[in-house]
Amino acid sequence: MIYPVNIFICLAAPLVIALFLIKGRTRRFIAFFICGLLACLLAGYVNAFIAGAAAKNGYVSMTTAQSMVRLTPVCEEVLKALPVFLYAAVFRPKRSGIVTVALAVGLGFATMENTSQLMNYGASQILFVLTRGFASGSMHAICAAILGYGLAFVYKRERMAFTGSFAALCAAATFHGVYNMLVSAGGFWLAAGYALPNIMAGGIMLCIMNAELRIKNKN
Amino acid sequence: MIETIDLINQFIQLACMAAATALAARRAMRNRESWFFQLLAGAFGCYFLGDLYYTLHLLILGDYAVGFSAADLSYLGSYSFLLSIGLGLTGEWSNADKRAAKQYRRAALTAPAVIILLHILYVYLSGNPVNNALFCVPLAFLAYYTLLLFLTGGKDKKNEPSLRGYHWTVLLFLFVENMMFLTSSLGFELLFIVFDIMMSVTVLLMVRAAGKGAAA
Repeated sequence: MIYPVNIFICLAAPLVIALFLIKGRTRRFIAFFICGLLACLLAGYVNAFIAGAAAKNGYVSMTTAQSMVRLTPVCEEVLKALPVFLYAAVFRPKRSGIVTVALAVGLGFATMENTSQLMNYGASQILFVLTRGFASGSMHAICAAILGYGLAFVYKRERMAFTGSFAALCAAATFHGVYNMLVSAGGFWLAAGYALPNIMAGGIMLCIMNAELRIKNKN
Repeated sequence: MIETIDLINQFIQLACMAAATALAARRAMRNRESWFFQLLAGAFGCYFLGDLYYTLHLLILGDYAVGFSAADLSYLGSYSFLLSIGLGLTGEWSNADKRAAKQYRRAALTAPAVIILLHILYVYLSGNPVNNALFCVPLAFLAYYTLLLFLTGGKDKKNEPSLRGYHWTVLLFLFVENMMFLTSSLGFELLFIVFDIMMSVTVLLMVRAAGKGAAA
């Protein structure tokens, strides 16, 4: 059996070396990408711990599928949000910096999750690997973008910084919950679950390209 | 039978929420400097996601999401977005506005007091203190700021009088939401669905009132 820690070390080691060789924005991106990998590693342990503790205390007993739908999205999004909140609170960066950092954490998380999935369930079907890889990657990127844009929007407006950040985190966790709900079912719902984040990511990219084109035309 | 009616009602609510989100987002795209519509779009978007989760839970797993779920989290997110709007509007007050609002602060405290009393009743009826406490805090703050803005908005012309209609619809939203909690706690399923439909209408009214307020 391959332990998640081993996968984390394999993925993070070359990136840690890169941290010493590269400077500027790329270094920041790599640092938070590693944070994303670490968040995914921790999420596995935290999910299992909370599900176990809840069942032990008689609060609620969850099957793996129920845990995936109800507990996992909240835990994962909170762990992904922590480095971004810390970065915003400590460094007081520009708005675009927060979005970049949130995306780096999200993509790091998706990379670790995909690799663990590949190691545990095999990669015999290339179509499945491609579909799941892109869907999970897009979903984590969208969740990170929701959190990043939300936080970037409110964090310099002091009165609404707390409520706005919390609201953005809630929106990201619910989107994650909807995705997990769809992919935990079979048949049509599974296909819809894999299609949803890719369609949304495509839509967002089109909107960004359109906005950039408008700015270019204005100039 | 009730499940089928509830499912149809959920689809109606999803359509209304999607429409409200799209309308608010369109306004936000037109006026990128305005934080008001961006937060309003966020509030409706969050509510839409919660409804989507709830409906999918009913369709895929075949039962209601019992206990705290991602749907509840999205509703909390929606209240937080609306609360952010309230905080943002009061944050833009000048010193004169603050002085004018001072006399209404005590009156505005009646709204959170009612919310807290209602939530104590829900705890007694449903026996779920954690969920109710989680919902009570943002709703109480939202009620306070909305009532304060509503009271000051009408009296002081400088103080965002055009958004009075919007504040009125937020108060209606709070009333309908609490009636949904109450009917759900008492087990009145059909009445719950009636209030759920009222919520869809209220949300559309909120967008309309916000649009009118911004235009004025």
